[in-house]
Amino acid sequence: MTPAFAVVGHPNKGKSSIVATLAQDDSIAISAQSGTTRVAETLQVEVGSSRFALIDTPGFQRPARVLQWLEQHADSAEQRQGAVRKFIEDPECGQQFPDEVELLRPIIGGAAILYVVDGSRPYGSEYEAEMEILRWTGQASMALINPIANEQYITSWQHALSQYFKVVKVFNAVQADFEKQMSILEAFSMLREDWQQPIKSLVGEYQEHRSQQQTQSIKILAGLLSDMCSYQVSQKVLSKGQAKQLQPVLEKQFYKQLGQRERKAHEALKDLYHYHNLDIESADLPTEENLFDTEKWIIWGLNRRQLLIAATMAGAATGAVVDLGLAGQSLFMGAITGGLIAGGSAWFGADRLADFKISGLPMGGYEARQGPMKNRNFPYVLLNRYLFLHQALQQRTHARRDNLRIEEGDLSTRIDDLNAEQKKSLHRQMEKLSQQKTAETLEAVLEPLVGS
Amino acid sequence: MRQFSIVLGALGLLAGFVIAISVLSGDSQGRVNLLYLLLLFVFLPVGSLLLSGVFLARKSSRGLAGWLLELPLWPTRVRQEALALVPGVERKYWLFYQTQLASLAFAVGGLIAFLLLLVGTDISFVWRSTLLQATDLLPLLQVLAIPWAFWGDAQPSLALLQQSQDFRLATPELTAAQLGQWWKYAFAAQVTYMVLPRAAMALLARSVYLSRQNVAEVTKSRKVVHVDSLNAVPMQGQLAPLVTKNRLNYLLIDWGSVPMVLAEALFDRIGKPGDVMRAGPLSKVDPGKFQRSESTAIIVAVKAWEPPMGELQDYLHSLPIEKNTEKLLLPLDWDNGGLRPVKDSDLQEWRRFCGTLGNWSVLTPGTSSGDSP
Repeated sequence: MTPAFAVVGHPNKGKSSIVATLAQDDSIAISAQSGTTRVAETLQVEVGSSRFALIDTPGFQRPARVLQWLEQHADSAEQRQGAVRKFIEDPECGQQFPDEVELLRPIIGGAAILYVVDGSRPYGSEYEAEMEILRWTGQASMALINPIANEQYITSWQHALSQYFKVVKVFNAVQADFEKQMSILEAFSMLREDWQQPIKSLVGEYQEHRSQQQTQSIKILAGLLSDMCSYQVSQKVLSKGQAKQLQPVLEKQFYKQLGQRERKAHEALKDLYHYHNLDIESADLPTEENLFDTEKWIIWGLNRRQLLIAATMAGAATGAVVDLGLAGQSLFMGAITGGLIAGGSAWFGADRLADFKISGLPMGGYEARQGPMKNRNFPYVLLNRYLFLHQALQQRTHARRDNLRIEEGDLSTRIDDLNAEQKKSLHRQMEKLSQQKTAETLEAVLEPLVGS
Repeated sequence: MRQFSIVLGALGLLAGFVIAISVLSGDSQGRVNLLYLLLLFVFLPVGSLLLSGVFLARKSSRGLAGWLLELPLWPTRVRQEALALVPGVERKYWLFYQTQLASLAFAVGGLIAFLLLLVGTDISFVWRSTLLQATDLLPLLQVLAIPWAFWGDAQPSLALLQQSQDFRLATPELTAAQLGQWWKYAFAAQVTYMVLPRAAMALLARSVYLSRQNVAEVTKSRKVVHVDSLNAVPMQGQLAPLVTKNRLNYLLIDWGSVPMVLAEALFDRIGKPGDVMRAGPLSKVDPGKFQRSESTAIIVAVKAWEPPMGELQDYLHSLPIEKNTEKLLLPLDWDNGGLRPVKDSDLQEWRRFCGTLGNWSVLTPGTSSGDSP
C-alpha cells in the first residue's frame, strides 16, 4: 500500500503549507483566511519510482460536539474505532459536521495522521477534544509543531502533544530546507513498520532528484553564459550611411534579446525546481536600465580590483602555457606578461560595452553589427544573478506565496570560498567567454559555485 | 529545427544520389571501375564513421551540421532554436544527430542511384591496376565480404576477378552480362558499410540526444497528481463593522479563556462588566441560563489568533438575545507580557466571521495595530 498521510488540525495552522512543502508543489491553495480548505484534497506525489500520498483536510470545526457524539456511541475502547466509522457513514453527521466527516474519512481509510499545531501561539485546552478524536481512530499518528511566527510556545506544546502522540516534531513549513524536509519524511517511517522501506526509497529518490536538479541547473547556467557572451545582431545594408542609421535599432534589439535570454534561463531554473506559480521580481540587466552605466555592473559583478585580480590570474595562466612550451627557458616571462596585459585590459576595459561595427562585404554592401559583449565583467554579472536565484530557489519552500526578488548577491564571497585552482579555472573560463572563445570546461568550473 | 533536419536530409540524399550516379556511370562504354566503387561504398563511409566517433569524443566539436548551421542561409528562427539548446550538452548532441541523419540520407541516396542504374542501364564492373594482380586483391575483397558470407552469389572469386581485370588496349574475356555479376557484391558492400552503420549511428545519436534533454527529464521524474479538485481561495465575505467604544453596562462572555491576570488591564479599556460568564467549547454552562436586563450589551471575548470555528458560531446562535441588544465580539491577543495589539489579518478574519452572523460588530478598544471599518 502506498504510504498516505492525512494532514489534520485546527483551521489556519499551516496544514496546506505543510502539504505544499512536502509535495514540493506551489499550486496548493494557501490563504491567511481560514476555511480555505473545504474538502479533503489528495495529492499523489511520485518521485522516480517511489510514491506517497498527502491529504490536505479541512480544519476541525466542532470537535467537542463530535467527541460527545462518539462517546454516546462507544462504551469501551474496542468500540471507539467502530464509532468513528459509524460517524463518517451517518448521513445526519455528514450534515451537522461536514468538516469532521471530511477529515476523518481518509484516516479511517488507512492514512496516517499528521496533526499540525502552531508553536508560536499558546496551547489551549480546546485542542484536547480533537486530539482525543484522533486517538479514537486508532491510526498511526505524528504531531508537527509548525512555529508560524516564532518558537515561543514549542515546549508547552511538546508537553501537551506527547500525551496524545508517540512522535512529536517541530517543522516550519515555510522555512524548512531540503534536509529538514527529508528528515521529516524519514520520521514518517516510524509510524508504520510496513512503510519503512517505501519511505526510505522515497527519500533516496528525492535526494537523487535533487542531485539531478543541481546538475541540470549547472547546464542551464553554462548555456546562458555561452549564449549571452557570444550573442550579436547584424544587418546587411547597401551603404555605410544606412549602416550607421541602424545603430540605435540594433543596439535596442541587442539589449532586449539579452534580457529575454536571461529571463528564459531563470524561467527554466524555476521550472526545474517546480515553482510554476512563482513571480520573480528582477531588476533587469543593468544594460536595459542605463546602457552606459557600467558602475551598476560593478555592483552586480566584480569591482575593479576583483576584476583586475581575476584577469591577472587568467592571463598568467595563459602565459604559463607558453612558459611550459619553452620548458621554463622564458624565465616565466610568459606568465608575468600575460598577467600584466590581462590585468591592465580588465582595469581599463571595465567601462566597455558592446561595440557597434560596420564592415564591408566581399560581394558589395555593408554589414552593421552590434555585439558581442566583450566586457570582462559581463559573465560575472550573469553568474552572480543566476547564483542568487538558484540559492533562493533551493532555500525556498513551496509553501511561500511571496514574490522572489533577485538582489545583488555576493559573488566575491562565493569566489573567495573556492580553492586557488578552482578560482584560476573559473577566471580563465570567464575570460574565454568574454573573448567569445569556447569555454570547454565551463560546467566543471561552475559546479563548485552552484553546489556551494 | 525540424526544418533544418529536413533540408539537411534532402541535401544529403541529393549529394549521395548525384555522386553515385557520376561514379556508376563509368566510361563511355558503361564500364565502372570496381576499385572506385569500393572507395565510395566502403572506405569513404568507414572513414567518415570513424571521424564521427572522433568528433563525438571531442568536447567542443560541432560536426558537419554545426558548420552548415553557421552558414547565413538559415532563417533566424532556425538558428535561434538551435542556439536555445544547452551548448556542450543538448546542442552538441543535436548537431551530431543531424550530421548522422544527413550521412544516412547520403547513403540512402547512393543506394537509390545504384538500384536505379541497375534497372535502367547495363553496368559492367571492371577493375584496372598497374601494380595489383587479382591474387593481391582477392584477400581484401574476401575480408570485406565476411559480413554477407551467408550470400554465396555475392562472394568474390578469383576467376571472376581475373576475368574482369580490364586493360584499355585489350578486350575483356567476359561478356557484359558476366561483368555485371559484380553488382551483388557492390550492393552488399553498400548496404553493409554505408547504410547500416550510418542508420545505427543515427539511432545512437538520437538516443544520446534524447537522454541529454535533461530539463524535461528531471522535471518529469517528480510528479504531483491532484486526485481531487483543488480548493480555491474563498471569496471575501461581508465585513462586520468595527466598534471602538462599548456601553458600560455589559455582560462579558469569556469564550477564549482569558487569563485572570489580564482582567485588570482589559477592564481598564472596556470598563468593568456587570457580570462575567465562562464559556468555551468545553464549558458545560447552558447559554440560556444567564440573567441580564434588555439594555445590557453582550461582549464575547475570544482568542484573536484562533480562527473562528463552527462551535463558536453554534454558541452565538444559541444565545437568547433580543434583536436590539448590542452584540460585540472582542478578539484579544496576549502573551506572557500581557495584552498586545491584534494583528490586522486576525481582525479581518473576525470581521468576516461576524459578517456572517448578522448584527454583530467587532470591538477594538484601542488595541488594534490600525485598521478602519
